Amino acid sequence: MHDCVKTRERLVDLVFDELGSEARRRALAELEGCHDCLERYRSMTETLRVFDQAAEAAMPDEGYWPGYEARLRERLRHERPSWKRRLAGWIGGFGQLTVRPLPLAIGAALILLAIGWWSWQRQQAVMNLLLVRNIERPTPTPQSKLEARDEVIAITPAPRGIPNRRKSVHSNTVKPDGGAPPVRREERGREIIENVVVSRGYDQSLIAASLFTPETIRHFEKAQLMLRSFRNAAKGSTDLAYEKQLSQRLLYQNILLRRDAEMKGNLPAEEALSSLEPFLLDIANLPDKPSGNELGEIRERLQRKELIASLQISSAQPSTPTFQNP
Amino acid sequence: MIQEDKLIERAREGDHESFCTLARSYQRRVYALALHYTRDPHEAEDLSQEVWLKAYRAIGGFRGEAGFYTWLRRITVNTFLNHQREMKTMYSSGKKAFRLGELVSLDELGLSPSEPRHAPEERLQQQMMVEKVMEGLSELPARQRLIFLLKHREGMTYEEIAQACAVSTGTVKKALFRAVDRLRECLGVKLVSPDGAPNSVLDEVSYAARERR
Repeated sequence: MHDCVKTRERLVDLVFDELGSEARRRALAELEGCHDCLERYRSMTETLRVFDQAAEAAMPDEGYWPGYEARLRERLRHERPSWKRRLAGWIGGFGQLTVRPLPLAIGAALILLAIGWWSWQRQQAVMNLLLVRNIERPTPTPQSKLEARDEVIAITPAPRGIPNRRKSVHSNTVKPDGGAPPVRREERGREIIENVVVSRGYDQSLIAASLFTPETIRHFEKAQLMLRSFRNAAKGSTDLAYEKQLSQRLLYQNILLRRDAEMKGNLPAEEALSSLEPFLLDIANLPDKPSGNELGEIRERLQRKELIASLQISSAQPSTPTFQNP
Repeated sequence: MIQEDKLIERAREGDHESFCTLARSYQRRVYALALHYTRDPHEAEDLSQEVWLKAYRAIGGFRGEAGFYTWLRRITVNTFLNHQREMKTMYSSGKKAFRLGELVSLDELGLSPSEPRHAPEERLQQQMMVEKVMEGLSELPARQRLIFLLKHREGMTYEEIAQACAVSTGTVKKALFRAVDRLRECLGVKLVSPDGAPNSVLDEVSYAARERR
């Protein structure tokens, strides 16, 4: 049975020749049975016919095209070739580059991100140290200085099972009258390193590796060994020729390394080397037969400043066991 | 076709002249599409040349997986759609009337030959018909107009149009139905009687033209 609505829905397919031969034959046969549908179909085809006629008439004459071509040629002449084509021309051999800008850009961005992440990781430890240092700096009175130090310790709690040595050190350094002793520059460098390593639970070897150059680390190792040898020498022994000689060599290297760290703005390295230098100088300048008092004084300072422990931390190697929770 | 392949190859290598020769083969087709889309000869020239400029920039990426014209048509459709967006932002109303003067002005600009193709009377009749058709096209929304042109002038399938315009095939069919219906109303086309006698003012023009042939 003929359905006008359905037939008209199919008229577009019929008019635009989207039906197969059999479907087309059936659709035309159905139109024959309905005057209204046939009329609509004919009016549609007639519309398209008139449109085609007008479309042809609207086209410019043949004389128009040479001008069109000339104008197009002119515009193309001013067109710069694409970067790919220019690059291909420059390279010469690569006639058809298939470089796609988007994947290339993504790849470059990923590489940059990786480099950024790596350098950020390296700088992270240094930044932490500077942060601690900046918090410590505004200490106009001894009392507020102490409070500031306690604040640093408070925000950087020690890992479980590890005694908070900093706290005890500070409490020991407070004078009975309530004032704190002046903290020397070289002491701060050591304290900062220790503070970060102990309180934040960082791997010592990583901290050392990120702060100091391999040359500086080796220097610390040698200095540590020399200072141990000096400290452990028998109380009565005054034969320290080997330590003196070694100390002179280390002193020379220490000065060079400190200057280098200064130039590079590596504060932790500079301060660690500065704290070592007076000891190297003292040992190197010892008389041939030093008195027991002279040696005792140096040993006492060594003990008080915990320089050997500090050097051990600074020169920690990746294989060195780190703090472990029990 | 071998000739075209060679031209494409040279154009890819940056040969300016080969590209111009290639453009000569298809410029009428692209221009016609642009003319019916914009309903303005000047704008049609600008738009069609923009298509060629884009094709020139992109020809290095043409790998010959599809025919050259299929590739070019994709650029054409994208350029038209971009143009439509630009026009939307420039004018609140997209409707534009095609004036007889615009065709006449082609002569003034030296874009048409000085000798007319047809007699003045016939030329006037044709111009009336063109104006009517262009007015009819103006009545259509830009996307509907493009869908109609791609189907009727370019013979693309529903699926190809749907893909090119990022719409469904159902939308394409509806757009076509509405476009033809609207054009039919604008052109005043009614049932053509069995003897082919005119039934509307416009039919008189087309009838006269048929009679002359």
